[in-house]
Amino acid sequence: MSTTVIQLIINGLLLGGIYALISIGLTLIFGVVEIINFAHGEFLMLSMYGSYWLFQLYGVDPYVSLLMVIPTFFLIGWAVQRIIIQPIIDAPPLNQIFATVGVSLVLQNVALFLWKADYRTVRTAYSGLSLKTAGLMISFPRLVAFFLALALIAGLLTFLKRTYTGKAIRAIAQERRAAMLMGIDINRMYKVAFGIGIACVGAAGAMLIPIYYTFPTVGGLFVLIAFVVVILGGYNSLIGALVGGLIIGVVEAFSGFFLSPHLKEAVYFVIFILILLFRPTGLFGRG
Amino acid sequence: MRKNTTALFVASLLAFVLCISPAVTAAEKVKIGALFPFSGPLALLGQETFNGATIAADIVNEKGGLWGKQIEWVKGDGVDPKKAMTECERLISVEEIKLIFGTYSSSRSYAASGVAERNGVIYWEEGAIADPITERGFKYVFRTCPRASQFGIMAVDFAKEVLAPKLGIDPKKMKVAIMFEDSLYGTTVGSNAAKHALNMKMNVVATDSYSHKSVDLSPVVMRFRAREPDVIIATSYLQDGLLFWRQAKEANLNVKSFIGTGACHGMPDWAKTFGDEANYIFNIDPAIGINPDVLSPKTKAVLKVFQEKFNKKFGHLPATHASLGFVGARVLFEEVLPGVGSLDPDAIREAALKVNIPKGDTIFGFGVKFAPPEHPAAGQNLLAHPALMQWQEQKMVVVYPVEFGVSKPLIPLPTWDQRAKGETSFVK
Amino acid sequence: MSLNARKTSWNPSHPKFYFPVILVAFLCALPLLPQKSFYQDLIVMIFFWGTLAAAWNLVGGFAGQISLGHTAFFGIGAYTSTLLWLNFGISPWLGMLAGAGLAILVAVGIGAPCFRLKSHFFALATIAFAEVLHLLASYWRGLTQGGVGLLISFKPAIGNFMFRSKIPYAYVALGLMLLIILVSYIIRNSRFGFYLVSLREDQDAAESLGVKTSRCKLIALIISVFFTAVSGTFYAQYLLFIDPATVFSLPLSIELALLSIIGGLGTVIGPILGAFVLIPLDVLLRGWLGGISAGLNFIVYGVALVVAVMYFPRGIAGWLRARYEPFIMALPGSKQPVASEGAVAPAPVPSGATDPGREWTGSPLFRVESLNKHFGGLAAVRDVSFDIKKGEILGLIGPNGAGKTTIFNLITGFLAPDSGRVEFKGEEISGLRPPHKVCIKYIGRTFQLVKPFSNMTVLENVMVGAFSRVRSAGAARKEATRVLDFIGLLKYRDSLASSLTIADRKRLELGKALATKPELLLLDEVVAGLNPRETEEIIKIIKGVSGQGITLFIIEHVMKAIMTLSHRIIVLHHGEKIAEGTPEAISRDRRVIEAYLGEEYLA
Repeated sequence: MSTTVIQLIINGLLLGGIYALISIGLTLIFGVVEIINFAHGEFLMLSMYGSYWLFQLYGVDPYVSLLMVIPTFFLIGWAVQRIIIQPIIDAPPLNQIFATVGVSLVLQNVALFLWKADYRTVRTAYSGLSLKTAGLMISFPRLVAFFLALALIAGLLTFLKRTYTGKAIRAIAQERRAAMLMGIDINRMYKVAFGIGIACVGAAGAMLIPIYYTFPTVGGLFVLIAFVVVILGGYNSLIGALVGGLIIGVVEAFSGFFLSPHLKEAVYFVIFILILLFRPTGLFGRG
Repeated sequence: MRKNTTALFVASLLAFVLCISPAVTAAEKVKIGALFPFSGPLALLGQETFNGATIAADIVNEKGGLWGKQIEWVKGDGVDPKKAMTECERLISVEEIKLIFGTYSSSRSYAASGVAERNGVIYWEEGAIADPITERGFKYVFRTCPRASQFGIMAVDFAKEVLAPKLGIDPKKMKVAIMFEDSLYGTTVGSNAAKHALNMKMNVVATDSYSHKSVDLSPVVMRFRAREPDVIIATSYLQDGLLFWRQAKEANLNVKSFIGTGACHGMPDWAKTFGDEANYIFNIDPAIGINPDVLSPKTKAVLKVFQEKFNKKFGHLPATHASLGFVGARVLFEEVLPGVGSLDPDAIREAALKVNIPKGDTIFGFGVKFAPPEHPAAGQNLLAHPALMQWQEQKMVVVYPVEFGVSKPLIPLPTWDQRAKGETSFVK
Repeated sequence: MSLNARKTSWNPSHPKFYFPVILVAFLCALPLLPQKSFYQDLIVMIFFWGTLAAAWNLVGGFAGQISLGHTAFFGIGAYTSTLLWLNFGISPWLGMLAGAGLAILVAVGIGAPCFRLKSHFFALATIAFAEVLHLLASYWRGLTQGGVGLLISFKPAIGNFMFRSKIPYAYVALGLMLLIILVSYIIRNSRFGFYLVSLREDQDAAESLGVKTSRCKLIALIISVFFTAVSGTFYAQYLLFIDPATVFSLPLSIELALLSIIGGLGTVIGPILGAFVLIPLDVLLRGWLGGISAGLNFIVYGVALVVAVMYFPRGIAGWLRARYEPFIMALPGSKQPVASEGAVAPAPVPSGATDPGREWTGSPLFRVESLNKHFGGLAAVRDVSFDIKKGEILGLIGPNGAGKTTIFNLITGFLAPDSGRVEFKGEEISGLRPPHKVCIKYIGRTFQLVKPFSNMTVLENVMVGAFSRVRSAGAARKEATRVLDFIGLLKYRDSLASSLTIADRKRLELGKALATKPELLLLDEVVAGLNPRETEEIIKIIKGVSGQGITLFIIEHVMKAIMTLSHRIIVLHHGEKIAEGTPEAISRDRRVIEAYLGEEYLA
């Protein structure tokens, strides 16, 4: 029995690593620009397609494609911030929500139009690879995704602490007005933050394509989970995104096994609501 | 300011007129409605099914058409059941369609066929399998394909009649695990399978449903691993079915046999994704590729033509869903409609009820005879039944019912370790 | 969005009255017009979606709580009536009410606690909540048949809520739609409507004016949920098939909000307009573009949504607004004298300027003892005690961060004190919360950063305050007009609050609080940011307020103002009271000079 429990923990952590990976970008955007980006999942979808086509047409391994995906998606994030988010930054929350919902709709259907509804994935040498040890199975691609999540977070934290831009971004996240008064170019910083956030999502997509399938509506599956993780972890804490992701992963693994695979999502949605009600700053968020 | 308003008004009027104008120009055509999910989450198979149907129409059109007129499809997009209903309304009252062909999805079929029935318009269902579609005593709804209950029952029967003896297990002690996704299709087949297994007094160790939106199925894998079933019966759509198998490998879940029930496990993507690891899985579906001896020579020729034309037009060979579309359309265009002379629903209905196609005369091998009005399943093709196939060398071969089989079933499934080494240990 | 504060008397031959009647008559005739059942279906769908959108609008538009989980109530309604019908043969008409009842219970139990979440979080919570219900419905096969869904056999009969023709369905849907339009209209012109809009605009300001924000949101939710659940039953009876994926779907929640946004959020007819435009447009686009390639129509849809949200936030109703008045005036019968209200007698400007520097004698009205508040390790307010006498003007000064506004917040229910005692008119009100309770007890306040209700007119802003003491819109209007006259903003009565200058906004802030007829009024830096002339004017008004017998407690940085006005001043520094006395005495106090005033002040 205990092997099962350990396996469940491993499954949960690996799954949680993926969740964390997807949520890092969202935390950054949410914490700095303070916008709920409902199209977050669609950027994930686009990056999965991007990695897929790079593999299909040019044989580029998804892990290698990171080098191309990250800068490209940074630019995409920059552009989206400039064109769509910036005009509505001071609009009522409802307008913001629906602007991003509109973007989500457009992206999904552009994908449908371009690439049809077929399911696509990438089959590499390591796609189904598992490491076996002591009766436990550890999925290799998920392990890589897990470590990438850690690396991304470490990198981002360093960036935020050490560089001027990073500090400027943190300043804005804490107190927008004061940051403006200090001469920080808010709009530029928003573009940077959004760019980084989308670049993170792009990286997540490249990590996911060996594990999952991409199709036009795949984003919808992940975006809600990302929100749960972000809120649980604390919407302006990167560490929170990691820890939140891992917790949700483990909770999902255990409730799926002991309760029912059908209700596991319901469990973390209930946790989500409880967190919102009783501790809206999440585990690590500042008030 | 007022100019803008007028312009806007005129523009919308023009757009509206443009939209309905196709209805005006079609004078020499036989207009058949095609109601499928062309967009949205089920778009993939909806489109694929329709593609199959178009081949049947093409064949007839090439020979001069129906009653000397070309068949023309008028599409309706059944994105969801509500819209399917509205589209059905539109086809009937705006496009003046008298015969609607569809629908692949059971929930859309329910909603839309109700509309058709109330309007006295023929609804020709080719592939949605939920039983109640033809249990409403409707006059104008006909279905050419088998029903969901048959899938589940066949899986259990196969386990009892073939698997158990071959594995040397007493059927009553046979451990069955059932998994299904939570939409209409999965729930219908899965619950029926569970019910039948319990009726057969088999040992059902797990009945796990899951949300089709799940991004992780390791809990199902883990639960099955803990309960050590002899056979898994699965009803999964594409995303979840492929995910499960991947995670089963990652977790080293070994089972002696695995029976899919349509959708995922019968699609080309199954072999495309897993290569040799796809082998030896069973799948239940209306089967093409059955033992050619079952087919009549005429139907053998039809099959060949269908496969060639489909491959030419769409770039790949047709699988189950496209074939369902084809068969449904073919029966309609070549067996039912020719004698009718017009699209009069009551006349079509009469002609349909007279249809009596013997076994072997459709590419699936089953015949066509629609249940009469007094029958509890009025409108259902009572001769339709699925077959059980197995993936062998990345191709689906029919193995059951025995006379339909082209090959013997290879049992049990190799373990993942064996697969890695390319070994098998099939029972003779 | 004007709440039609100006009333006109009933006059059926004026187009203002007969035109809406014509519209309603047209709507009633509409179901009978088309021959083809497709158009009949379209009309049913328009009425159906119009009702749903208008129901959502009560919560999302009027109250400003963005719910993306309304589908949960839709599903509860649909499943309850259907299960009652299938299992017990209970007529769906009754089942409809049962469904609505159950949905309301669920809403109150789970939805209501979520109201304290800020808008983005509230939206997310509602999504999660609907997803949980979706999963439960598809899991609990024993009850709901799970993913298989429920099928209703077609047995047309009025009692069965099933009809052969679409026309009765259209009339039921129309009935619902007209009902909710009526309800929305009544709400909009009532105290409740004013309260809803005010809490949407600025919840804190609304609370300070006596608006029971939680209760208002709850009532709006209950009404909204009722109509949503009833629509769920209608859907079930129209389609005769429901499954979890369709009735508990996130896209449905989004569509509801969409119709209201495009139509015009927070207006009565906005959602209806949205339905009339978007539902046919959707069919049109799907037929036209969807035929070319799947999903093309959704791209157009999405782009339109983004554009609408970014550039036309007021929606169709907003666009129509400016054109409606002239249109009505162009109709026959408009050139009639519309009876307006009689002139309002100007409020007597009270004399009684206060004499600065003279100690005020009077009975203590308000007393604070040992008030304490910590934030983490920071002591914001430390053991502060003082009292205020009836009719007095007490000033509160001190450097930034001294804790002045914190004290205001502690007294008026925006923060809970850690310890200490607060007494008003002999009654203990320590830690009284939420803020509306404090207002009810005749303590009013303004905010340092003014909080006007931007989308309401100046008159409507003050009416919100007036409503705390009167019930009817007429009485509130009268009282608000009086207050506006007193503070000199009468000429702006019909302008939107957002169009005022900062000086006038400060006056408006004062006016709102005055309308609640406070006995004790707390003013937080009312003078800050005003030029000398504006400062003089507002000081005059404040003196006038005091002259009416209202006790004042004023925070100020502008020395001239506070020294002129106050009878007494207390000085706060690092959360502690360091001095108390007449303005004269304070200006010479060594500690005060060091901490705050600076040496120059003495000179």
